[in-house]
Amino acid sequence: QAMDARRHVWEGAIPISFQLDPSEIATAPAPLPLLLMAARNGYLPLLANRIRQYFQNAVLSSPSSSTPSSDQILWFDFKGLPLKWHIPTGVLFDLLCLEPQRPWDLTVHFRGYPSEMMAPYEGDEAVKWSFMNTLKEASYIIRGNTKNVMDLTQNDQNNLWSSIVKGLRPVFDVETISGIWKNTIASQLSLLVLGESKASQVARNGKVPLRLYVRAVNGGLDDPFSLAPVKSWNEVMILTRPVEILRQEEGLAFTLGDALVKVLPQYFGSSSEDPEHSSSDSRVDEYGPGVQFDGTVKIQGIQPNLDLPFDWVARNLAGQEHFTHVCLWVPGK
Amino acid sequence: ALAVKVQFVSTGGAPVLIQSEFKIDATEKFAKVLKFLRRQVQQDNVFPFINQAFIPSQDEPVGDLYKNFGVHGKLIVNYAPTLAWG
Repeated sequence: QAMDARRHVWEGAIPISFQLDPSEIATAPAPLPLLLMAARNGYLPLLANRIRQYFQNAVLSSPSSSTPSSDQILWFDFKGLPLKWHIPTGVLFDLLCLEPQRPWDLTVHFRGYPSEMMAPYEGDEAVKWSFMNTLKEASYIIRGNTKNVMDLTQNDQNNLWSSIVKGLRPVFDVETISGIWKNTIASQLSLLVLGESKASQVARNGKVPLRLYVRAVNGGLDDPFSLAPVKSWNEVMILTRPVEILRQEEGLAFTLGDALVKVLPQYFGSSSEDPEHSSSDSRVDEYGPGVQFDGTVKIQGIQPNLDLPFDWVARNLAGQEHFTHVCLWVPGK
Repeated sequence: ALAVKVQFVSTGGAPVLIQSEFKIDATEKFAKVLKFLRRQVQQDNVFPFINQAFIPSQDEPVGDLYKNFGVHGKLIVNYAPTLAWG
């Protein structure tokens, strides 16, 4: 079952239809959209070269350069919202398309990069850099230092990055404790979540890296189709909230719901008086006993049962940079 | 609103600031911190690291960074003229 989850995550690709911004089209007839499969755990700029090649003959040349589009930094929008390139593609899709759109219709721009809104990326190298730093941040959260990442050989780094670029399941898997990932952050995360007694090897911090994307929605969530598209990133709260897995009473797992109650107590009620402790109350809600939630949670394209053990979620649904990205729609005030 | 004490620590020959500690609103993103730092040291070529470990995403709120990585009541931002811990 765990293998299926990992496969779902890694082979979960999103079909995207890229349309050139009509105001930048130089040719008639207009070029057809480009259809590509984008890896969930990848980043949109990694598709830029293919997209540029496809559209470059159709793009309006900028007056100052002889090669029309070689210098332009590509950027994408969904219904007018520029897409933040450092957020994994799957997360963007889940967050902006609660009701999945297949293919996902995106507009590609060669000009007018919105640099006030997000720092530009200078090629694949910048994306790799962003990924490596997020990996280091995760390592720091898990074990209190970035030693494991810094100790990766150039070859390991290259292999890791190339699996992201190709959207392939990496050779090194969280499940594989032996081999190259031994003593690296993947195995540390495993030790942490499996609750091994080798406590001394596990981080001083000993927390699970979690990133939350929260949208407050006025009116109900009964009809996802009627959900207004995000017009600005101000509508989304992006939070980094490392979660310590608390030891529960015998037989009770620390669940995903428990983790969410911890990090966002204002949205998640617990059946017990004290929101800090999960309840073994027999009250059954849509999301299972103990945790009350009126909204929607999505991780890697699925709406998980909040009763799932949090360590299972962290091990199987995290991205390759070891952050678990959770999209949340909560009732607005 | 909550303000976070940010301490800039120069390393690797980066310009030293006379005033190195500042209060920044917890809701500001790290991009603002970087922009502020560059203005303070009067050069674009500075690379900021949290606790000498990693460069956070431009989007991360300072409040989160402090909550997750702050030490002794401050968020320590080391800055170097090169990618010192890259």
